[in-house]
Amino acid sequence: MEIGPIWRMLMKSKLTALLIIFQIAITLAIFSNTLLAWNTLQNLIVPPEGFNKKDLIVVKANRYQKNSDGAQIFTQDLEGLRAIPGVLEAAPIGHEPNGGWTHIRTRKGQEVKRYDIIDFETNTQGLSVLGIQLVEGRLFEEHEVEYVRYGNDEGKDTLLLLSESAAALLFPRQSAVGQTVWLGGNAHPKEVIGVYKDIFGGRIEGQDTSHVTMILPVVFLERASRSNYIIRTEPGHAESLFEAVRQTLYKVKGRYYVHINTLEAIIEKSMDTYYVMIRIFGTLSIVLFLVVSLGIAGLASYSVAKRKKHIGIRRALGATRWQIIRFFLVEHFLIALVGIGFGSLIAMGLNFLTVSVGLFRHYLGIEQLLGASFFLLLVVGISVYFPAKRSAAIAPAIVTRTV
Amino acid sequence: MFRYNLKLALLNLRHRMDLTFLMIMLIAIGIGAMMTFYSVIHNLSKDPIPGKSKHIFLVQFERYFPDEPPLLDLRDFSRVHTYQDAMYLYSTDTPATQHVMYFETDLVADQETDIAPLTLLRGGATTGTFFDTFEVPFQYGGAWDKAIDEAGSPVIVLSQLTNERLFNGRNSVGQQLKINETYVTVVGVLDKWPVPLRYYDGTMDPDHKYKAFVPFHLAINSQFERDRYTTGCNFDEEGLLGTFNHEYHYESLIHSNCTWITLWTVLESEAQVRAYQEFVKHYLQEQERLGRYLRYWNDSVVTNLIIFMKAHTSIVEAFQVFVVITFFFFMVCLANTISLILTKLLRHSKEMALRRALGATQKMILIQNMIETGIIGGLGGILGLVSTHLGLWGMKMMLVSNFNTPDPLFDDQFGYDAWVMLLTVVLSIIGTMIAGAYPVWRVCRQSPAIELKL
Repeated sequence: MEIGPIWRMLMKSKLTALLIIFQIAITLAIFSNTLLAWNTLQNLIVPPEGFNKKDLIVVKANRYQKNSDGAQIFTQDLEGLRAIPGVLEAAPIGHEPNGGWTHIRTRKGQEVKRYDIIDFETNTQGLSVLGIQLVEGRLFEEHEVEYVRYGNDEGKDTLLLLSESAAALLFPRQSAVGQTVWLGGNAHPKEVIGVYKDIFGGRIEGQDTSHVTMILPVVFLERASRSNYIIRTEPGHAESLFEAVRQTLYKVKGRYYVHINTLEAIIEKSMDTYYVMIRIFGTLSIVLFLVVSLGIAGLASYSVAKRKKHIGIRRALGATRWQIIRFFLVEHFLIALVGIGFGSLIAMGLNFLTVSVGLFRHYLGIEQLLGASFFLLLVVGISVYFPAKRSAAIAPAIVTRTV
Repeated sequence: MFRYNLKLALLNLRHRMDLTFLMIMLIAIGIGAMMTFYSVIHNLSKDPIPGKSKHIFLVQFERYFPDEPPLLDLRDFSRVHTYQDAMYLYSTDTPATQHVMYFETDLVADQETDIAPLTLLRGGATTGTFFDTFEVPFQYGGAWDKAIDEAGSPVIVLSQLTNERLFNGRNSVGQQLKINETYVTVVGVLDKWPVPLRYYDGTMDPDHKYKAFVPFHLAINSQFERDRYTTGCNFDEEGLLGTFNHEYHYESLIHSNCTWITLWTVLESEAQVRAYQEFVKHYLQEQERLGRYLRYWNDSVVTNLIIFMKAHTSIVEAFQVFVVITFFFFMVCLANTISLILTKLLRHSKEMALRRALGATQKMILIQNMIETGIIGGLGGILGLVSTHLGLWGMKMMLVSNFNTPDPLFDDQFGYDAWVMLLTVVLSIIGTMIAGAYPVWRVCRQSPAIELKL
């Protein structure tokens, strides 16, 4: 392996080497951050194990006529929804998933630490639609569900369920069942009667998706923005039922339905910043790879053209074709490695920049750098291969042409 | 001499069309990516009301819990007020010229036909002073007056897009419209009003285009659903937060200590600013004596519109990072341009050597080559105008499909104005010439004798 001569040759044409190093460094920096964004998204989209997000429809409906009879509309809605073929169960829900959050404390008092938690208000049918699986304690029963007409939500309901993540957060060293929590300043205390397996939660501002959720046995009959419904459908049928659901609910005057979506679509929408970022980074990466691979091929050709005599002399002195090709390949791999070295530094710098601004929330790891480097070396190899092959075709007789 | 050089340059460029074409494409792509993001930043940072913006202030007096340390960062200050405070400052004789109150509501327009569906409008419940203060342009009709404000009469002002949707864009002044359960009369239709980020309600979010404006008291009396979350109910009322968000029952909200109204004021001189600050502080001290607050407030009480916008531009920061990234991308494209120039020069080396031998100076060769690179840069820049436009369009389309919004919504953020266009071409030329400088200079320094050998 003739590293020595390769190195000396490199030093002679510093400009080409530098150009390749620069391009590889930038490409690595951008591509590894793209991989990071992609990885983060993959981790985020995955809902808790076993949670079915495909066959669940969420309808967000607002009531804007407060004079209508909430209870009657409610009954009418559910009857209509359940009558749709393909619907397995329908239930009301207060907040739609990814629709908001509130605060919770483990002791009463202003100075006590406040946690962010996502609240779902529903009845027992809702538990079945959401597919709640009990881990500890018990679920609430239908007679414990409070149907609230207008009033504050400090109703008479005094119990709630926590998700596993919520229980772990609020009561890390003990069982959450039987504990008391307070929602908001002067609220009545509520007792935790059960803990359930994590379901999808939503985004809490400034953070990624949280699975810290709680379920309250409350149904709002007259609240404008909390007359939403969740519907469990037969597998695979969710989207085809949108129109039927729309027709059923739309008939009631005084209600405006805002949108209808599968839970899967809602989860994806909550990650939309990531999707946008990946598209931008991804597009840049693809164009970069194209430009850089063509660029390296071009520079390699230039290299070959400049060194015709050198190659000819070596061939005349007995070098095989393969040795000539190998010379170029090794030379360019060395350059690429240097580029990768610098590129890693730039990649990390870029990552810090995006984190400081809030675009990313994770730091670049070794996996992304290695993955990007590997792919990059592959691309370099392919780009250099064809000019290298041409170099081997140079006849030794070229030596005799000029001095 | 210049014409001769120019002729040579063009000849050379045509000689290897493929190389020239490649170089122009590279530059266009590189500059296009960078200017796309720069353009967005440029649009988002524009002064929305040049000339008047220095007189418009957001009233911000922060209140926080007694044991907490004072808030120092402008970004953490509350941007909304309680009903009592806002109404007091609006109605009393203060040193300020004018006040504007604002909160967002959801309005459902029911055109009571079988064909037209319900339309959800994003409403602004505000005072008539809103339109004059923010210099909102009207296409038909105008704002409502103080009498209507005080009575809370049922009138409405529609944005241009809303008018197009509801009335097919014709002059709808005088028409009746059913909003929720109330019949309102259209008194004005807005003209095209560029608002890249919604500053007037303090959120700095992208604007809604299906907008409508109703009088402040009308919204409260008719119980239009309030759109945003309150911030800062004090501890005792925290439990009511859930009740107050997204709701249409205003009774308890009005009497509570929860904050929900954005308040702007117009102060036209330094002296007026100071007088107003004194006035507000005096009022707050009085309120404290009455036992209403257990809180403190920040010193300045008012924040200028431009300063406020600059403090809340996290979107701009994010885009600045993208400009940095695309700047490097542009550098990569220039690096490849350098390599293409090197290749090109390699082919012309014999010709240049011949010219040198015939008496051309190094300087002349240099100038001729720089003219060539300049032309490439210029052509790349012109093509870059197209690629930037494409880039902006692409980004807009991506957001439109993601958020399912109407197309014109993002026009203000992704527009492409003359200044940015000029910058595109100029940066292209400068970039290319810098890129081409080193290889050209190096080639000119070579002794012609070597190249003339064979």
